[in-house]
Amino acid sequence: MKPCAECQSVNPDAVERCLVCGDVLPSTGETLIDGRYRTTKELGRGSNGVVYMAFDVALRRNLALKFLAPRLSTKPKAVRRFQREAAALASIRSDHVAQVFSFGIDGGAFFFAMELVKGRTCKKIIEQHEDNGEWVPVHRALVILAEMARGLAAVHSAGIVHRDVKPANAVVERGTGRTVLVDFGLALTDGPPTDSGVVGSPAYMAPEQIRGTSRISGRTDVYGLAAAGFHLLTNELVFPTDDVQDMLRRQLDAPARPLSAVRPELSPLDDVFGKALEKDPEDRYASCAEMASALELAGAQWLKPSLPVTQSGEFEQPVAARILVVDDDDEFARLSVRASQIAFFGTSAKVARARSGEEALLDAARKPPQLVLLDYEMPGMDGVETLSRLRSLPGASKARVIVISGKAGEAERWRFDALGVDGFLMKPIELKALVDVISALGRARGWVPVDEEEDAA
Amino acid sequence: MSTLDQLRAAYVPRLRAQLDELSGHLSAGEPDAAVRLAHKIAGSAGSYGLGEVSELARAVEHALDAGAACADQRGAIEAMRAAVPDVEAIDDAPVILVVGDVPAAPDLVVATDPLEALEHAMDRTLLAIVVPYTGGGRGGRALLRSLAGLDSAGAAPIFLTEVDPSEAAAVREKVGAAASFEGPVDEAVLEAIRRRLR
Repeated sequence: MKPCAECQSVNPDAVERCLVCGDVLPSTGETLIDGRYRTTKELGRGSNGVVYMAFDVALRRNLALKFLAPRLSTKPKAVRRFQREAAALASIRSDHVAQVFSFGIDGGAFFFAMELVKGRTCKKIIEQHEDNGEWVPVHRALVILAEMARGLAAVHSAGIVHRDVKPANAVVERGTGRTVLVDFGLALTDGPPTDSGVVGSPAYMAPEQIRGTSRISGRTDVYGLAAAGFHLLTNELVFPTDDVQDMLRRQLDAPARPLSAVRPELSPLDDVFGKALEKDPEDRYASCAEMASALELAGAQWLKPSLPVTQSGEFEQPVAARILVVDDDDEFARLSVRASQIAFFGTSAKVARARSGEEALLDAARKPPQLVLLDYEMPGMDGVETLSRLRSLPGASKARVIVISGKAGEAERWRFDALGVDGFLMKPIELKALVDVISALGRARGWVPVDEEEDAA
Repeated sequence: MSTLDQLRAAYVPRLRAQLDELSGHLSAGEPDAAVRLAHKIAGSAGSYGLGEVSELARAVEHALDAGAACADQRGAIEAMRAAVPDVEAIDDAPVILVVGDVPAAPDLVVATDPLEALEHAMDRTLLAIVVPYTGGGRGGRALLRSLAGLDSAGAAPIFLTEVDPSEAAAVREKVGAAASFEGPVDEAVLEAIRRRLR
């Protein structure tokens, strides 16, 4: 145990900074938490605890360790809630919910190990767009909401209510673009709500949460999802006020304004959000899945494929890595194709080329790629729209993507945070540098053998 | 000629054609088309090692984007033309791609390393591929896997060297090879292959 000289809190040996005040703790040499986790850096800190990035030396993978703040470790109610959060997450299997691997206690500190989701929170993505005077593209925002809804449906199936659905608790994973729900610190399992006081984030909080009644249910998360969706689509809160009391009062009594009050072109979605933001839970959608279906219908003009693509399940399953080079410039595309073939030397990888976003989507729908080298500035469908639609294609949704830009540069990188990309390169780029980037990604994903191997040609 | 030189040599005539096209857009007073093409040239020329051309093209792109007159950019086109190097004409005659240590010959392109061979296979029209059936990350078998994914090499017959005679038939069938040889590639092996190709 490490006592903190600043605040006198007692900390586990493995942490470098005090979990309470953040002060640097004296070193006691390398110690593994629970005999297997080595913390590498602090990821976030809240009033109830701290999250570290850690390396699991047994399974050799990075993960997140969430510690309960030491001051709460002696409070049975807080420990119960923490353990409940871990158990709730561990019971869920969904691509859109962060998974918990284990729960433990080390030196008196409670923690659980969970999936490390690297990426940007939707809150950050909204801020980036707002700072640049833009909105998240509607297609992308609707796909993110649909994925959040899928995650929440899995949560509800496990008998859990999240109770804190908000943009800060949804992460768009770097590399795959999948949306993952995180932070179940307020999750409530089925059964008598023994501690259903006022908890949550006021801007996204359903009336029944504010009242602290026992009417908390999946419909509470429907409200949170709609409030988060409103923010994602408009850069504004349903009730835009900095005064928390005013916010809570309006959540309780004031009718939710329609999306079209901020963005008239979103009027086809008004009814869906209006129903999801009803004050009485009984007047809302019965489930997040029901709301997602309604949103899909109402948002057809944005969600419908711009091209005739094959239905889910009809695409060819690849037997080797497939790389798709999307670039309207024949000369640069030649280099990208060549770099891919060199980087994947020794494998049976197939490299395909598309001259436009539309062509890329047709190709990807038929033969899903594992890796896409995507030009940003293309006539017609640009890189952002192409990737947004690629992310909603069956089979191709988790393709790893390297964006190659000839003009916009790093300043435009934020546009792709909502879509999840692995790399962002600037043209011109030397062939060798391009090969190195593709090789590194190929090795990391296991597409390119790291060690020499014996096998059949 | 190295594979990068070969790549650049193939690119330069296409670049010259693009500069002619760019000049045409400027003469015709078509700034949008000129911006699009200048943007492409800026991105690709630098990637092919022609940094000066890339920078000049970027300057034209930015100037036109900022509202400069097409006529004022003609000097930059001439500067770009002057910055394009003279390159050897590429040899596009069909060749036998050989991985091994043999003397150069007009009908051969010889690579000492399978990765270099892959690059040649991307650039040249191949009459045949002669490759040792060796394992490892940089062995002949790794090359064969890569060639399987390369459309341009699909039709060329494969001749394997360094194949254990006891496994030769099975190996030939697995790879789809035209023939195999026990020893490494040499003049006698090449002559046998040339006879087969005739």
